Amino acid sequence: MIKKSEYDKLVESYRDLQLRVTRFSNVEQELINIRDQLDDELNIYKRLSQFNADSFKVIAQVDFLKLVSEAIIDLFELECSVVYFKSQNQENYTNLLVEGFNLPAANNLLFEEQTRQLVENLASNKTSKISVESFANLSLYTPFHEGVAFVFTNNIYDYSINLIGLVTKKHAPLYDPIETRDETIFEVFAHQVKSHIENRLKEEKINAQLLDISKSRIELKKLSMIATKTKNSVVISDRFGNIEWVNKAFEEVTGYQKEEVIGKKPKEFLQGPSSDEKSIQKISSSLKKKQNVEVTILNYKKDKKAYYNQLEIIPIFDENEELINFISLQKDITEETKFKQEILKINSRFELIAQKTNIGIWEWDDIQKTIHWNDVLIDMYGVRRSDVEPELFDFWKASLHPEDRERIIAEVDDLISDKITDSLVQDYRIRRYDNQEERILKCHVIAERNPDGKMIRLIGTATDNTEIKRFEDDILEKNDELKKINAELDNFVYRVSHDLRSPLLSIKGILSLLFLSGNLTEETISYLKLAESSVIRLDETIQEILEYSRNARLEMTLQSFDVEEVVRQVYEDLKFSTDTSIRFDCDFNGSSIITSDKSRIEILVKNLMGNAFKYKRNDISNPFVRFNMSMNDQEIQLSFEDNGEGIEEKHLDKIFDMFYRASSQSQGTGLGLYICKEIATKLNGSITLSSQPKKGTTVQIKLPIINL
Amino acid sequence: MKHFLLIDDDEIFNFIHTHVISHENKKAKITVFQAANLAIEYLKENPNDTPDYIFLDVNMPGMNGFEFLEQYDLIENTKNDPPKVYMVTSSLDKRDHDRAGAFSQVAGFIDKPITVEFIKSLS
Repeated sequence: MIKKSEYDKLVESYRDLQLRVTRFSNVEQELINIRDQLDDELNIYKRLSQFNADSFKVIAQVDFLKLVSEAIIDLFELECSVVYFKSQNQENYTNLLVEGFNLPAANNLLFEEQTRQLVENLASNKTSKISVESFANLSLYTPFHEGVAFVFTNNIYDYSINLIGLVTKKHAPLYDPIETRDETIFEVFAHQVKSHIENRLKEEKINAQLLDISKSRIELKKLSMIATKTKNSVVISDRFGNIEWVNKAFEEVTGYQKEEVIGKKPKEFLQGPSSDEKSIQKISSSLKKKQNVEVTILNYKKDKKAYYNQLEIIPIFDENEELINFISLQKDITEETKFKQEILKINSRFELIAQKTNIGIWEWDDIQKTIHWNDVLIDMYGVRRSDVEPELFDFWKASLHPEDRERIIAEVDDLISDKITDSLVQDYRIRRYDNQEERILKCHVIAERNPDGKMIRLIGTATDNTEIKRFEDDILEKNDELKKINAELDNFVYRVSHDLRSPLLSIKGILSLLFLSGNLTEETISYLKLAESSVIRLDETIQEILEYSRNARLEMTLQSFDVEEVVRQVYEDLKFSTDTSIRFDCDFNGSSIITSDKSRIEILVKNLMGNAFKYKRNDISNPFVRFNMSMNDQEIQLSFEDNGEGIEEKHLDKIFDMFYRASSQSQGTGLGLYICKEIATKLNGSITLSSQPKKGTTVQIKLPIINL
Repeated sequence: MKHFLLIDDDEIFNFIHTHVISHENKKAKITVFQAANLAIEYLKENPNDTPDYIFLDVNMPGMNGFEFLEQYDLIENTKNDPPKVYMVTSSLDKRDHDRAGAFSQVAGFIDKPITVEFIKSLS
């Protein structure tokens, strides 16, 4: 039997036990719950770690973001996800990824905009829950019931990311509501995503920098190659101007070795007595101001030889704008300078000549399409440079005389298109701009061509020929007038000579009739003879005056003829007309055919041979006249030799003077030899005479060879 | 019997030449004209009496020597032996000589006055 007290004790123990069991089962349940939760979390962490592992495997950014969007759904057992990524680094790279629902393609931009609005007011760098009200005003988000979002913007890496998990109204009953615990895990996930992105960006940046470095290394190598190999001198100095490095070309130009100049300032040894003070000033003031400077200065080589150094000094700054170096590029331009100075000298001389001689010069460059006129030409057209430049071509065309314009332009066009002709001469009229005066220009145009014959430049000169042209016209007119007067005068002389001779010759005829009548006394006959000789002399005088006047006025008429024929004919005529006979010897050394003015030669021969007849000695038995002719490459020589009276020495120097008569008893007019001299001169020849009284006279004529 | 035709506006020369000719050639028939156009008329009207020689002055008022030659050229000549024309002048103008050379009838160009020697040389 159990005692009551024992029973009670027992009941109490049982109750206690029951309580304990209950408590235990509670604890157990709790433990189970915790275990489940731990399992759950473990699962999540496993998945997270899987996500991490997968993330490392993908390379492309877009693939990574895709992985993120899928992970949101998988990890948190949500219906949909939105990943919105923007990066300034990658040229405004934007990526919007949607998973778990279909977005009409056309709505992409609108969705992007609404996504931005959705997360606008959410706290950065933490997870926020999105309630159904937040979707109310966003048309594309209205189907959603709730969501979770992580918003983050990083200024260092310049990117922003929005991660959004969503559940639709339609499927909300199937999903657990989003709890705080989920939010925490979401945040852990988000941080992982963040660090992935940042790692990726970091890596990108490093890669870019590495690329830059390798690029600049190549660049540097190239630059140093150039600096070393270039023909121009390169000098690198520190910020105080002391030389750190020079290249080979510098050594070659200056004659200084690198070791000699390192640590020195270039001006200490390059500048010398004739270095231009102005240039030195320019360099030092620019260096003080840390500015670029370009200058040409006379420098000296090691052997004291001066040279023109064209140099540029460039200050080099580091990224903090601190001056670190000067680089100087130098070039020996002595030859160039000499050449340039020579050209300038020639040019200025040329321009001066153009100015002084009033020659207009223009140049038209077809390649640079430029026209230049010198001042003389501008003045010639009576215009101011500022009024016509740069439309000089149009101005020129407008200035041309309307009657000349078309022809002149066509000629120039022809010269341009023609591939062979190099020059053109044009005469044309222009109207001056200032006073509308008409001027006549003479222009030479020269085309400069490339080897293919294409015109590259036209160069021209112009001279104002107005006055010359007027003079020319004037002279031509006067010349015509003179010719007319000359012809009239010629006719007049013939008329006068004819009219003077006619009565003279009728006297001569009547005298001859008297002689024919036969019944005259000796005395009468002697008087009549004197009268006849006076008549003959007067007739000769008239003829000689006529010959003189013709020689002085008439043009030369050149023809080829036989001198022998002329000489023989004259001899025969003289023999007949003087009714006297002397011996005639004729001697030709070679051909007797010459080219000259036949009628003048006839007069010459007639006069000289006539003298031999006129002054023959009556006291000798064998008077003669000897004609001799010879010819060589340069001249024709004619000579007349006689054994006549001869001339006293005192007369010889005046023998060719007009109206000079050597002997008082001679029947001469004093014109014969004068005419001979005039004719010889007219024929570009010469005449000389040698004579001895009672021995004879020799006349020599030299004439030039004329080829027709 | 030779027939001489003298054409010259200068009476004195006609006188001298007539005497010179008749001195040398006593039987000669001498016809004298003081104007060339009269000579042309004469020659036209007397085709059977053509002269043997014509002495023709060059410079004459009215019809000159050359104009005479042109006209004379148009007259039909019936005689087998045409007259010899001598231009007789005191001109020294060479152009006259050249011009005369262009006429086939012109036998020569002689200076005034005609001399006995010249008349002699004709026969």
